[in-house]
Amino acid sequence: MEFLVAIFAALAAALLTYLAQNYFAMQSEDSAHLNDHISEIKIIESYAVEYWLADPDEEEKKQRLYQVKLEGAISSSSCFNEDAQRILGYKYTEYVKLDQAIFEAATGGAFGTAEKAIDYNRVVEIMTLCTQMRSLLRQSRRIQYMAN
Amino acid sequence: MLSIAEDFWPFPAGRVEADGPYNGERFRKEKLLPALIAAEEAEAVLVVQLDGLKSCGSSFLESAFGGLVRYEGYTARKLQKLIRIDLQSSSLERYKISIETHIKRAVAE
Repeated sequence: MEFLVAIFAALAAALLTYLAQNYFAMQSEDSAHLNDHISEIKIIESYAVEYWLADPDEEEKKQRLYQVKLEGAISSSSCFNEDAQRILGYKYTEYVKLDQAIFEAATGGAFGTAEKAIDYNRVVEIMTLCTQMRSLLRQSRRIQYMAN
Repeated sequence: MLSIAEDFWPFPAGRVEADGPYNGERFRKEKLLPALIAAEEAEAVLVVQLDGLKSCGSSFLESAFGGLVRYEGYTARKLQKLIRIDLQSSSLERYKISIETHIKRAVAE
């Protein structure tokens, strides 16, 4: 009987260890995912600011370059959306609103058009939204650390 | 069904002809409007497929879909019944929200 109890306890311990390892590995992956997305938001902000501050009369080639970089940064950042709901939990709704606002501010208006001009207000809006987004992602990351 | 990527271009950009060949106005006039009229005649819903889209600015989506209200005589309410945005990948969700927002906010000119 004692032998069976010992075997059962060993199996239960192994199972718990396995489950805990998986849980912490997943938490670690999610934190890495959040860190990556924070970096992506920084890149979007940087390219968007360069693009909307570029003078189309004097920096046509540079402006085109910033546009392509911004399009690439915006497009690649959307991969996070596939896991966002699971990772962010109750903060997901707020995330979607901010994500949408950044997309509209960075690529809306005269984006990619011959009418594009320097837009200081848009630059301020983009910087503010990106800061709010980073703050939200960091809060989510902190919640994950606390859960561990 | 109308696929922006397959029936038009996976990297559409700009609003009008001066902005490049794959602009929102051209998509609206050459692809979206004829497909919408055909769907109306068949009393069907036009499914606009977003999958395959590699990159797309909000300015393109506003010109293409908001332009239906601003220039083509449609109302937002009518378009909400006539068009269904379809996507498999959730990474394209922001384009869907953008289209719905532009249709809702557009005002006829």
